[in-house]
Order: sequence, then structure tokens, then C-alpha cells
Amino acid sequence: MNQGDYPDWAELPPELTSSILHRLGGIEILENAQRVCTSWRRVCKDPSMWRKIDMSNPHRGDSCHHELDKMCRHAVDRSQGALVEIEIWRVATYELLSYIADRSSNLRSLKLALCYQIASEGLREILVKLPLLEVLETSYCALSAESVKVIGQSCPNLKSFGKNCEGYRRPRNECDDLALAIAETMPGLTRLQLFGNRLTDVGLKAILDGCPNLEYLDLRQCFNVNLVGDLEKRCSERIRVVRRPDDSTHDYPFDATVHDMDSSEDDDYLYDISDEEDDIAPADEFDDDLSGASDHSDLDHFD
Amino acid sequence: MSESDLAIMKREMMQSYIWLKTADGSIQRVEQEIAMFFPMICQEVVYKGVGTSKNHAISLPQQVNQAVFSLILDYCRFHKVPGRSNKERKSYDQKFIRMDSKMLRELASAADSLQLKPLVDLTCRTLARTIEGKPLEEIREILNLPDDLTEEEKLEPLKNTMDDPGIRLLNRLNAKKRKELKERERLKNVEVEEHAVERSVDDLISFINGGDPKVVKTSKGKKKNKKKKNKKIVSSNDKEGAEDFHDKESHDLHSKQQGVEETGSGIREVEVANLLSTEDDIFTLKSWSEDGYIDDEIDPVMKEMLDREIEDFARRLNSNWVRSRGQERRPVHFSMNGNGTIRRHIGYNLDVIM
Repeated sequence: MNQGDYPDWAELPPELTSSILHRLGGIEILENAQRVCTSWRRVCKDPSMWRKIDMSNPHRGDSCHHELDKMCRHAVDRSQGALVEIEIWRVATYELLSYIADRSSNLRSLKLALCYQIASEGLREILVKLPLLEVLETSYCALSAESVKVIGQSCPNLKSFGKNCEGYRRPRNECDDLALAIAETMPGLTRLQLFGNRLTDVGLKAILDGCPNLEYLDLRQCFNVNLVGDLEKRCSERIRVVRRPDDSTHDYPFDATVHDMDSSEDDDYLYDISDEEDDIAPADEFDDDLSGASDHSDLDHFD
Repeated sequence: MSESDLAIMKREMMQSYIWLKTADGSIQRVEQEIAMFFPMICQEVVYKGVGTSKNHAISLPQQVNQAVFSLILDYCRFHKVPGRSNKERKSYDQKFIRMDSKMLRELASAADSLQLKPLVDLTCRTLARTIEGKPLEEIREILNLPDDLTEEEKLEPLKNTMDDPGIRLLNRLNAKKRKELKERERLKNVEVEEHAVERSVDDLISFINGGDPKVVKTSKGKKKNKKKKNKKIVSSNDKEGAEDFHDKESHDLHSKQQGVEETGSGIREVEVANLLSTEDDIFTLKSWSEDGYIDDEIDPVMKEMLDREIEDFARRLNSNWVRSRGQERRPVHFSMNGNGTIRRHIGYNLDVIM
């Protein structure tokens, strides 16, 4: 292989190098890419590389949160105030998000996933500092309906909202608080994702009423929703893309296993709690039901 | 001739072509609908009227040679067909992109120059995947990149070289203090000299209560060694070994010691103590820096300012004083030992018997 035949990578326009390196995600850029050569280092230090920061890195289970936190702050610093989009998995704390919010008043998109260290109130407080926000997604993070109301009111430009959690059929808990909060305070939504939510048809109707501009609605694993009749009609007519409760989860980035709490039948479970004999549930019953967890025929029992 | 042959012939005849010239001089005839895929070609055709004949072929950008162009054309021809499903397109892309990194890079470059966004995305995505998670050396090998970073550059931002965080943090911590000192220096420098000297000697004597002969002697000797510094530094010069008890802002301690160094030979301990305490600083700061990003918390502009200030300050003072390490002027506390000698506490319990 003739050295002379190789194109000089440095000849690639910086935007192209930037585009390539950007796809590696914030952590790998900081730890790896910027240490390869001077031209890459230059590209990696340029603020334009840090306008959109991806700290998802699902593969980095080994890095401690402390380090990742520092890296995140570092990444935000490099944006020099021009941060518009950031996605953080796992390591977000109140302090970190405050740090980001204080330096990035122009933030348009915030996506958090698996951030167990921040409470709903904390999140609410931070979002109040980001009035220009257009996209908010929280997956498996604490976010109450109350907080959602406050957020909706503080962020009038919100176009895309997502709150994803674990879906389950049993026990059949119903809760429309979140749906109502959204319907009340987020009229401008064009995109809504409520994976695994406990809302019922009541909540769905409220959303359809309150968010007339919806173009994309994801209700996968919202097992309390019965998308038939009028509701179904409204959805399919007005909304371009509807993901129904039982639709495929192949493109869902998180674990979509349905973890039903169970016994052989819902009613039995409730009645038998006080029954001494049933204090110890036989293991077999559990196994049976778990294996059938994703079996759609289960749904029929609860109509 | 069959029906389909006729149809093909008809299509051929009705087809208009755009003439393009690749970077390596090859003239290509491309169906108009494909050629118009490329924004820059569109522009050339519409606004300049070129490309309609062999003699007026549109020159493609320099990144687009014949081989790469042929690939691009294949790509466009496939994707322009409307009926294809997403799955089909995806599958085609996966196969299409199978080539070595060199070709991939050329393709990316060419697609970029032709503003063909979907292909740019595809190639960039693939290139990113090629280097993802790979060790540095391998990346350099795959892409033929030079290993031209300095050791220091390679280590940041996770680890800083031993000195850096020390210096930088010190600078940061002391910037304000230095400013204050400078101010006082400017205002009071000359005047205070004498007064300070006398007062300090008196103080010394009264404190020591009979005094340490060694201390007093050398302090006298020190007078000659007066330099034009700020008040505290000057005053301390005269006291030499015995430091400034009352003066809590004796950051100049170290500088005093440096000054002492010049004349006093018996002041080895001072030197050592000086260095040791400086190293203490660096050690403490190192533990900070292990955490990482202290260095980068400093706004680069601010950092430059600080650096300039330090240089400035260093120039004003005797350059002997400010060596390569930032020297912290920390208050030093003194206490009397049982036997009347003075113990000086430096930072972290590093005592020096004078």
C-alpha cells in the first residue's frame, strides 16, 4: 500500500470530520477522538461540535457516574453557551442539570433516560429555567403530573414531549393525571410519546382535545387504553402516525419487557391477600403467567 | 423487435442527458433526472446553461473522480425509484457501503462536495462505526492519520500533567491576592520600607523576648539585600529567618525565603521548607486534579489574563522569586518551642526548626 495513495484525512472539510466524529457521542469524543491527531483535536474542541451533545453511550456501563458527570460538564463548557440539544442517560443529577441550564439558556431539546438520581421537583425547577425548550423526553425518570403542569406552563414552545416508563397489564392501575396535565398545559404539542403509561380512554380523549396539532402519538404499552370506535377514528384521521398499545417495540431504545405483577387471576390475588393459606404463592403460578406476559390473549380477560 | 425493446428505445430517445466531467477528466453522460439530483448540477444547468453538450460538460468538484462518481450514480439510480420500501432501501445501503475506509472517505468527500445529504449521512455514519470504540493507534492506522499530538495534549482533559493543575489552580487562587499586593506595592512601596523594617525588628525582639541571636544577626545582614518589592516582602527581608509573626498576609514568606537564600547559607532549611511546601500545594492540588476537569473549569480567556498577570507580577518582583512553579504565599504560623527556638508550621504539619 503506497503511502502516497492514501488521501490525507486532514483534507476532509472540518464539517465532514465533525459530522463523523459527532456520531461517536460526547464521551467517546472526549476520551478518544480528540487524542488521535491535531486536526481531529481541533475539530473536537470547536464549539460547533458541542451544540448537540449525546451523553447516552449505553455501552459505557463501567465508567463511574462521577467521571461521566465531569465529562458532561466539560462538554457543556465547550459549547460556550451555544448548546441546543443534549441527551443524558443515567448520570443526570440536580446539580449537573443546573449546571447545564445555567449555561445554556438556548437549550431547545432535553432528553433524559434512566436518571434515577433526580427527583420530580428537581427536574421541574430546572425546566423552569429553560423557557425555549421545544423537546422534552424523560424515560424512566421521576416526573409527576404536577411537575408536568408546571413545565408545560413554563415552556410554551414545547412541541415534543415524551414520558416513558414500564408498561404492565397487571395489576390494572389507572391514572389519567399525567394525560390531563399534558392536555391542559401543552397545547402546542405535535409529538407525544407515552410509552407504558397508565392513562385510560378518558385521558386520551383529553389529550386529543387539548392538543389539536398532534401529528405523532405513541401509546405503546398503554394497556388501559381501548383504541376503538370514535377514539380510534379521531386518532387515525387527525394524527399522521399512531403507535397503538400493542404495536411492535422493535425500534424502542429501552427494554420493553412487560413485567406484569401477578398470580393466576387478578381477582384471586386481591381476595386472597388476607387468606393465610395463600401467604406463600406457589412458584409455578408465577412462572406460568410470566411466560405468557407478552401474550396478547391476556388482554381479553380485562375488557 | 419486441415490445419492451421498442419501449426501451423510445425511452432512450426521449431521454435527455447532462454532460459531466469528473475530476480526472472523464466525460460522462448522465440521465437528466439523475443529474438534477445534485443541487450544484441543477444550478449550473439552470443558471449557466451548461452541460447540454459534450463540449460544455459541467466540471464536477475535485473530489469526484470517475470511480467515485460511478458509485454515486449507482446510489442515486437505486434510490430515485419511488416504489421501493424503506426496508429495501436500507438493505441496499448496507450492501452499498461495504468498501474499505479509503474508498469510504473518498465517497464521503465526494458526496459532500455534491451536496448529496443522504449519502453524506450514510458514509459518515459508517465511518463513525468503523472507528467507534477502537483504540487510538488502530484508528490512526485505519485512516492513515498522523500521530502528531504532544504528550500533554494526549492526556487532557482527563489527566493533567503534574504541574499544570498546580500552577493553574495556584494562579487562580492567588490572582486576586496578587492584585491586592500589586496595588499596595504601587501605593506604598518606597515609603513603607524604612518603617516596616524598624517596626518589624522591634516586634521581633519583643516577641522573642531576648531573641534568637541568629535571627537578629541575619536580619541585620538582610538590610543590604533590600529589593524593591512590596511592603511585606521588603519588611520580611530584613527579618530573614524569623518571619513576620503578626503579618497574616505573609504570602511573601516563600519569597522572603528566596531572598534569604541569596545571602544566607545557613538557611538551607528555609529553602527546603520552601520547596516542600510548594510541593505540598502541588500534591494537594493533584488530588483535586485526579478528579479531572479543574483545569478546564477556568475560562480560557480568564486563564490567559491570569497567566499574563503572573508574568507581569513576576517581572515586577525579582525574577529569582518566581520560579517555574507558582509559589503560594501562604500564611505561616509560628510558635515557640519549649527551648526558645521558633517553629514554623508550613501547611500540612511540615515543621521546620529554625
